[in-house]
Amino acid sequence: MQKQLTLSFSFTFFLCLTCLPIVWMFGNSIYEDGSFSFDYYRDILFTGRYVKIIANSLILASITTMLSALMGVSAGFFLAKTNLPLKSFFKICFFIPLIIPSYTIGIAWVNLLGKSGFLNTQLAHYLHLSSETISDFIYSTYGAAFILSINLFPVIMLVTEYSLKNLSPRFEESGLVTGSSFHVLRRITLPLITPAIISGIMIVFVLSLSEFGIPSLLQINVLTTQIFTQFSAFYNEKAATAIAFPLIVITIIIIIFEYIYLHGKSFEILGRKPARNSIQYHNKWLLVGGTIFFTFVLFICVFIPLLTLILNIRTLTSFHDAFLLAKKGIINSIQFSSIGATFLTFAGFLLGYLSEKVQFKLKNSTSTFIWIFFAVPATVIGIGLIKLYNRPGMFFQNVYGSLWIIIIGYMARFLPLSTRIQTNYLKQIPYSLEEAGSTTGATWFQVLGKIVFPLQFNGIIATWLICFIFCIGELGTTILVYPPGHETLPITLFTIMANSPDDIVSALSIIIVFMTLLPLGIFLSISRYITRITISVTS
Amino acid sequence: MKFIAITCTILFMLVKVCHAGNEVVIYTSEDKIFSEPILQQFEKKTGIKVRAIFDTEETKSTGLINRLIAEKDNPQADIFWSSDPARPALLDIKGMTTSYISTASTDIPAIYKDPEGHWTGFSARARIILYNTNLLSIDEKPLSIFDLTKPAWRGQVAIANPLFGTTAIHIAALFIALGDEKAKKFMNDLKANGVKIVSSNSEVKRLVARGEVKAGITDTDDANVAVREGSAVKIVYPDESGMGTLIMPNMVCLIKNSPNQENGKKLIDFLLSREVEKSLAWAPCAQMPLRYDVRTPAEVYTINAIKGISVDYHDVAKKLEEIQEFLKQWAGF
Repeated sequence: MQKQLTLSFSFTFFLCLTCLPIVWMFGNSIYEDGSFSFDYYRDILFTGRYVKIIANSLILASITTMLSALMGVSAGFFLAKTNLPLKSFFKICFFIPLIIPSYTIGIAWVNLLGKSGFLNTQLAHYLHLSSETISDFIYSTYGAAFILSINLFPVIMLVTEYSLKNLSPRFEESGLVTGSSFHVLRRITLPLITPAIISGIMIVFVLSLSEFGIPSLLQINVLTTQIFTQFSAFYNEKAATAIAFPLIVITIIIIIFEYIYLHGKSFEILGRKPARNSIQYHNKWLLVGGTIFFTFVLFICVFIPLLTLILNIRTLTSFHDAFLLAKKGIINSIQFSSIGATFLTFAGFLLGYLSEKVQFKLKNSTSTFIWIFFAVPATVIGIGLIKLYNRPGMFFQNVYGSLWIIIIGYMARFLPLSTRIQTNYLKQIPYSLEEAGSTTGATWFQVLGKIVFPLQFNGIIATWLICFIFCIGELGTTILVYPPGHETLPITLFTIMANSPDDIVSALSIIIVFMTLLPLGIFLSISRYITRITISVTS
Repeated sequence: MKFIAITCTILFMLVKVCHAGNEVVIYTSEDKIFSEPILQQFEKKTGIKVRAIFDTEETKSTGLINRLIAEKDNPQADIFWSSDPARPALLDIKGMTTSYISTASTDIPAIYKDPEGHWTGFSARARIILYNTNLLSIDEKPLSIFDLTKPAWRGQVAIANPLFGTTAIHIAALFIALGDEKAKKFMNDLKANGVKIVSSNSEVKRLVARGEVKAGITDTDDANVAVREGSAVKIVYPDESGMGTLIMPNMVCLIKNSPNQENGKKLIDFLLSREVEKSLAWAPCAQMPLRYDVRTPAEVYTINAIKGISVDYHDVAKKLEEIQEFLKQWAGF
């Protein structure tokens, strides 16, 4: 009973918060002048005008995902499985590209590889390329994918790292008895964390599909720039919503691929207690390779964007000015994002449980249904929320005029994301453990509290971290719904970006980085402490 | 249970609902760094609390206009202060503004205000050509936007995507001033000459300042930022001996059925005052007062010192809707 009620409540919660505003927008897009009309959809699906645009979107997302997976899986592996020097320092640094707005990373690279950029001149000199060729590269779909992968690889890195940490050492230990560590890695470790990696890949694919900042900066014609054009140049929300439809179709197609790939395979890899001493690799060549790789990634993804920002700052008073501008935004952002991430983690856990652990007819459709909304662009969600919540009446005005509308915005945008991450961690927990708990007479809440939560702890941390970072950087929906006085940091940054001196904008970007890293660091330390306690209790 | 009760109490303590009182809600697309001090002056002077929502640069997010349109059935904003003249006219066309003729606007020239009082202009910007002084000498600088279609400028000019912002308004004004045929020819010649279409006016400024192109068409405020930053750039007001350039006043309008109409009118009176025009002229955005007798710094042009294209902003807003399909194809979007 406890189980049914809680899970039904969480699914209703999802329907109201995420689903309703989006369904409202799509419903509105097929209703014109008092009757149903599919004109906008006909234009997209049957005229061929959008074939090239959809192809551009797919190319951008595919290349971004490949590059991110390459960097993310490797970085996650080195973090979880080796004892590289300064590992924690590298890990914190690798959060930075995810925190800096993609637009800022874009400007840094365009400045470097643009016609008169420093790196352009050097590459042109040493590689005998023309300056135009290099500049054309950065303004192309491939350049956009390169910049986006810098921005998004930490998602795959985090998901990989925490799922490797979850892995019970017994599988790898038995492998090591018969084979070399390389074989264990290839035949046991990587296949066992496949669902987590695939989930990271899907998240990055959908995020790059729905990314607007970089394609807009580089003037790449993709679906999101088309949606933006319909909103901001034509003020046509119906056409804009209709163009978001292919994004949903593409998402469904990838889910089908994932289902075909993972169907029938078991990933229940946790032992009866959380993994404490997973296998570590100490090969010298691996450590040297890892250090070189980390330094390279640090240079490309962190050092260059940060250095560009730092070089723009001429005096320290810029920090003072930027801090005064951002004071309110800092407090608001940390407060809203912490609440948002906590709700998202909690609701994501319950929805993940519903779509992974409960046996019912519509199980697969439920998980697909939750995930497809992730590709819907922020603006469509924002306008949907205004239409739903901006109504006369005490209740609606109390929600629309307070921080709750921002939290609802976060839930609408990122609930599919938190559910997806948690689902894949839940895949690793054998159902038999829960059954054992139930047989001894424990209630469902007790089973969750004593068995599932402790085993899922790494997944919960990874989800909270990712959700926190995404909430703190959210701009598209928040800017459409935030009440006066509730500005967040990205809103402060983007509203002062026009016409503020570069040094203040850069100083503010750096403040955003550190203001996000600070609570992250505190959260990581607390979670490590709790992990230690949980492990000692369960042992 | 105890845990849930405590969590709920803490969360509700965080809620700060915005209750109506002696306040006014303003949505503004004028840059925050310039508009916020002015709104603070109003608060100090009248004691009325101003609650403001600011916009991002138009090409960076889907901002205020979409929010205003979506909130149409239950408006939250009392007034809209637009940094350009076409969007208030668009809101007027959509029936979202209400008439208010402010007594403070009597000495503002008639061409900058709606006769029925749906929108009124003050402090203006202009469209200009920004050129890089390291790449061009004074003799080589372009004097007209038509110069930029000549072979000498091939691949050396940048312009923001004409579907958005002030670039869109500029092109619509050109269509009115030149006629459709000539304006289309100008745009096509510009494209054939390899013009670089970038995301925003500040991106045009950035490319000119870095010397990636020799010149670009942008707004006075973006250009002034580059000048203030010490970049090697100079401003040309184009076509001084011809049709002139587009002058774009700020505009303010009262939103129909908004909650604080009376306070909204007081804020409109304040924004249209000489005091505000003077503040905006002396601010780093260096905007031109629409009144001839407001004192300005030496480097800020007065409105009678430059030649403006003669257009009705209501017509510009309508033209903009008409030519959007052409602009979409032109920009390749």
